[in-house]
Amino acid sequence: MNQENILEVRNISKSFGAVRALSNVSFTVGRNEIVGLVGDNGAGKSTIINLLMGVYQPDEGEIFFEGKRVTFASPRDTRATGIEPVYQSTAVVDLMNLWRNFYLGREVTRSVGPFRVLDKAEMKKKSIEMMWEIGVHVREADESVQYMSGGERQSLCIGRCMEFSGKMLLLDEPTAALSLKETDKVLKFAESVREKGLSEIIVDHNIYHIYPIVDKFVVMGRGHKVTELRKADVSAEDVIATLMKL
Amino acid sequence: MGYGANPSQVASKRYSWNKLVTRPESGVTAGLVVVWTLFYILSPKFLWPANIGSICTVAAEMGIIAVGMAFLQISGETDLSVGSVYVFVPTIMVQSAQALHLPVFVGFLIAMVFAALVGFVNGTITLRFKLPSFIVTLATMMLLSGLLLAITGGFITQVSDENLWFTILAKRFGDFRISFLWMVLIVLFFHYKLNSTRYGNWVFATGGNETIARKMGINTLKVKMTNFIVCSVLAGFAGCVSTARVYSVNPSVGFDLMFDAMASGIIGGCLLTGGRGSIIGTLLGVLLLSSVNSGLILAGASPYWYRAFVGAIILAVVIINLVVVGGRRGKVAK
Repeated sequence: MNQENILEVRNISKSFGAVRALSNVSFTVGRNEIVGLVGDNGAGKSTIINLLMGVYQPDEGEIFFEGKRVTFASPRDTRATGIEPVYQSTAVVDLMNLWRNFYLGREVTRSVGPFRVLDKAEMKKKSIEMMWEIGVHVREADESVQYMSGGERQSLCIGRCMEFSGKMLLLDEPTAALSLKETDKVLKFAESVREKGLSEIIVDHNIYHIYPIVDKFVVMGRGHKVTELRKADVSAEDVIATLMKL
Repeated sequence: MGYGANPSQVASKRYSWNKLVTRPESGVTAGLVVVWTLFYILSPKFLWPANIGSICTVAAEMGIIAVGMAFLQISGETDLSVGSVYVFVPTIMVQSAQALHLPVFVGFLIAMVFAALVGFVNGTITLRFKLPSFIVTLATMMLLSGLLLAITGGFITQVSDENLWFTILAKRFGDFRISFLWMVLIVLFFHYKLNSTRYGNWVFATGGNETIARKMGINTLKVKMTNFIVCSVLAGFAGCVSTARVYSVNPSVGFDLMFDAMASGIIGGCLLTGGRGSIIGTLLGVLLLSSVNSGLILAGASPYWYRAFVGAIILAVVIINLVVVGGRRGKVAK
């Protein structure tokens, strides 16, 4: 496989009972490339994201990451590979505070004698710093996330993604349910990924949101890949027109 | 530039006060102070060392069960079979040692393996078939207690000779017993596990929202399975401690203790649905219940009042937790 590509999805299919959610879909994500995954509801975008996140496994087909064949049996596998997700619905545990959520599954520890103890001071400091960097001015890392706004909660997920961004990010409708200002921040973050040398797949219904930041569109329709459009060749209106024709 | 401003002293004071009262242990601490004051006024003997010693002895056995149960409950499951395990396990310890002419300590090890097995079975059925643990453990509770009654014919299993292991578990020193120390060690260990280790964070997340915990890469099934086993093993250990104290096992006790252990957790700030709770709070809940038990006797009330009192305390503390604590934190959405 081409070493320029960080991810290659080859001929994957997935059915849920009688419903064929994906049939024979292939696409690639290049190193340092941002791919916009677009399509109407039911096009199969979420299924692709869930397959990459390890929530489901494909019935057929293969996934290659950095040239090696990979299987994502669980979200743990995906994160361990270096793919960091931001979910459509904010993935925070309401009953837990900011730093516990921020570092969930990636807790920082320090040695105290023979014990590995959570480095709470470090996690509190870093999680607050990350929140400020995104523009959410929280004071207390002990604050429960259930009193945060939708935007603040999504910012937490984005911040987490920034902190742990391994090699590739998966953003599944990261701007759903956000205010204009918050959307702007999230999109700025989504674009900043390129400067850091990472790759990204972003799903969004609003073509105008992602047109400025992506390199290429993968257009989905009814479980099939309809076409691939390089941004250099098309305008945002062209992409929308393609979608409307489906 | 506004966001760089330091919060005023007043605001930060108010904030730390809020933080204090929203801790899961706040309700039970208040309850403990009230109950102790009340019983001290009714009978000054309440705070005599002999009485404190007896409170601690009761609290030790109840506490060991309650800690395991709280740990499991915070991860979102429950175990009703602890009462049956509490009597079944020490019966195995004593009977296997007697039948095979082994030291009691070896019998204890065999019994602990059995306790772990019960937890494993509870966990496997619950997690494999995605059943509510309430139902699964209700069934194993009845299964085990019925089995034990059938095996023993309902008779008390006696231990005749003194042995070193029982001394280690529950030797008496003046008004106190070593079992209280065991309980304190267990409380400290699980408090540390829950609050200061990665595993503890996973326990909170698993109980708080299992779907999200799994998405963040946590093996929630493993967390729950571990906690089922921990809960059973601690219940079995508590049973052995009790046996080491009284040198016998009565197969028909245990049910009450299961309810007391569960009540202690709830009083101590554990959510029945998981995701929130405290081991220290649970310990305070245990102390509250065992204080009420001995306080009522000293105050000259019939011990039958105990259960009614516990009922009232559960309601009071839960309402305090919800109204006072919940009110300060703002309405909980969903």
